Amino acid sequence: MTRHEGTAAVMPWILIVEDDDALRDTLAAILAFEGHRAVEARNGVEALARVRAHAMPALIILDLMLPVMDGRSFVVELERRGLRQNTRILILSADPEVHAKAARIGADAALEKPFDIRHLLQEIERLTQSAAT
Amino acid sequence: MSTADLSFSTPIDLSRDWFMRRLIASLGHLNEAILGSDVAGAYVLNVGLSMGAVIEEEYKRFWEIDRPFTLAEYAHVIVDLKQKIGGNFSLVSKSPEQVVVRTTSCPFDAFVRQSPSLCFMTSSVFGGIAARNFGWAKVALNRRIALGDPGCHVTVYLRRTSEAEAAIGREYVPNIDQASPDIADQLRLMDNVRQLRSRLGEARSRWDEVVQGAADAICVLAPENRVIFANDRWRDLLGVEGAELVGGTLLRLTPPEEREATAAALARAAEGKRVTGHPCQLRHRDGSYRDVLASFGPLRDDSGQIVSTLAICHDVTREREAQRLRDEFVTTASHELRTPVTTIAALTDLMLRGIERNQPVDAEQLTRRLRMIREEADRLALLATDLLDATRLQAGKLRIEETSCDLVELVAAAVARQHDLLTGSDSHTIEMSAPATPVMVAADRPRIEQVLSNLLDNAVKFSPDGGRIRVETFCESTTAYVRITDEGIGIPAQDRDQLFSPFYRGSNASVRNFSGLGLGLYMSRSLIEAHGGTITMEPQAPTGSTFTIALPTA
Repeated sequence: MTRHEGTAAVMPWILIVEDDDALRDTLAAILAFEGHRAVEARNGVEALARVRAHAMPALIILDLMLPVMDGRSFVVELERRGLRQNTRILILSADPEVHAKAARIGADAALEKPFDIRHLLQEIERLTQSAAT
Repeated sequence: MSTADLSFSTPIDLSRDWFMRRLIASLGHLNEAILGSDVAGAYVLNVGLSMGAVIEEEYKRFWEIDRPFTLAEYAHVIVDLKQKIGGNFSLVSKSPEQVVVRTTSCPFDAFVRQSPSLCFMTSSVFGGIAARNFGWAKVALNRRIALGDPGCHVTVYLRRTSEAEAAIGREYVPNIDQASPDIADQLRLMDNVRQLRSRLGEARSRWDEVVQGAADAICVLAPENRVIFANDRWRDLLGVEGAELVGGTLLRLTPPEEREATAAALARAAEGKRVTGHPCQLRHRDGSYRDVLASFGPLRDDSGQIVSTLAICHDVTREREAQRLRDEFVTTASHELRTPVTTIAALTDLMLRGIERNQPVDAEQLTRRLRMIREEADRLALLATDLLDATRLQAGKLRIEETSCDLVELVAAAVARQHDLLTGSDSHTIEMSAPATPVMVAADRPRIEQVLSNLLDNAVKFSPDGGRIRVETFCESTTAYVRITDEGIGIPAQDRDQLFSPFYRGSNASVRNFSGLGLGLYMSRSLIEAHGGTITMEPQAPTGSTFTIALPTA
């Protein structure tokens, strides 16, 4: 895994936006197990608060069907605020049309639930590396 | 008899304008073949005979008589025409043999200018009426009337006296067999017209029957798409009377973004093509839009010329809504089913990875993860049961096994279970009121429990923390009631009709924050109805809802 070295003291981190408590906890546990720093949010509004409070994450793992503010609106809002450039977005959704929907909102990748944990980790690896370069 | 006897005027509207309008309308009935020989003469004869028939009809309707005119009545009618149509007639004499009228000008000056033979118009009006009422008539003019004429006498002979035989004039008879060839032609023509009219009337009433009896909203559009006719079904479709649509356009009822496509479809129909199943929306009086499948087709006149467009609008709002709910259900069900599966799979993978990497086992962490897997499996099992039940319900295969049980006890048990489910952070309170004595109902115990927990679950789910839920059980004559009132987010008015439909989930944004397949209320209603009961919802002010279950007592 490539990391920013030197003066940029902020360690790359991953934002998980998922409303299902059990799945969010599980995703956080997986990321921690693999040595990533993960921050959790239950919906788009919470996620926006997290990106304001921190520097931008290297990757956002985003569910589409979310209460309060859904995944699509969250991406639109990120773009509106000019925060989209240095962040990769991975959509995780149970929607059978997840790939088409992810492409429509300009996400970098998508996985349909349920997914194989190896695929998830491969995608995370690929996207965080591309974010760093 | 003097003219003084006839000085009164009958208040029938036979104004000159009216007469001229009828006259012009009757021109359409002229037979070209007859006009061929002596155009003007036949024309006048025809119009005069037709107009005479109309005038006679008007007077008989006004006097409410259904018999031939008497002599006095006949004389009245022909002199009365003076007031009605502007001629200058006065009665000279009348007897059973003949009626003599003096006229100084013709009511049809404009026509007279074109052809002097048109003065026969008056003769044929007088003669036609006389022949029908007295069996025979002959009309003679002592001279032709011309512009500025000092006047002439029109004699209507009613009997074949020697004087009548000798007079130079035209004979009129009531039926074709006895008529001279030119009159016979006219009578035949009039007969044809009468038949055509009655066939037209039949066709029109058949058209009315079909159009008004149709299940779809139908209208006829003139060029420029103005509505010139609309049937009664528009009331069901858009909440407007057909007559209210007349004069307006259908396009103004379509949403702006669809207007172009619908205008194009109408234009194709106006060019003679048929358009079927054109999907569009039309605005209801209440402001909402209805989904319709519209068919447009050209209407032609006898010559094949397109004169208007027929539009038939079939309401598919319900089908579209059901389809939308089904589509939404697929998305919701995917989400609800796949999320726990994802958690189970991911947690298992995670634990396997730990083992692969020889990580030391943390007993507490392992227990927590296994519990999570167990909970997610339970969640899936519950969803599977709901889906199966709903499928059975829709197939009519859900069996109800009734036993006698106490509703008070069932409610108390359901409330106790709900209490257990409330987690520490929940601060809902559930208040119960019930009679001290049992309320016995014949019920399938687990099914009623299922309904009660569904309703209680909804009440908790859709209420804010600290919300109060009231559960009342009571009995009135042979009906037992359970009433559950919450102070939750309530149900928007537009959703109330659909509340108990399968896959329905509230349209208020906040409902989207809650999980669920949208089957709970549908199943609850089906189950209660299977017990011979009812379930209803009333909104509460300022917020919240009351659901009432009514079951027959055992």
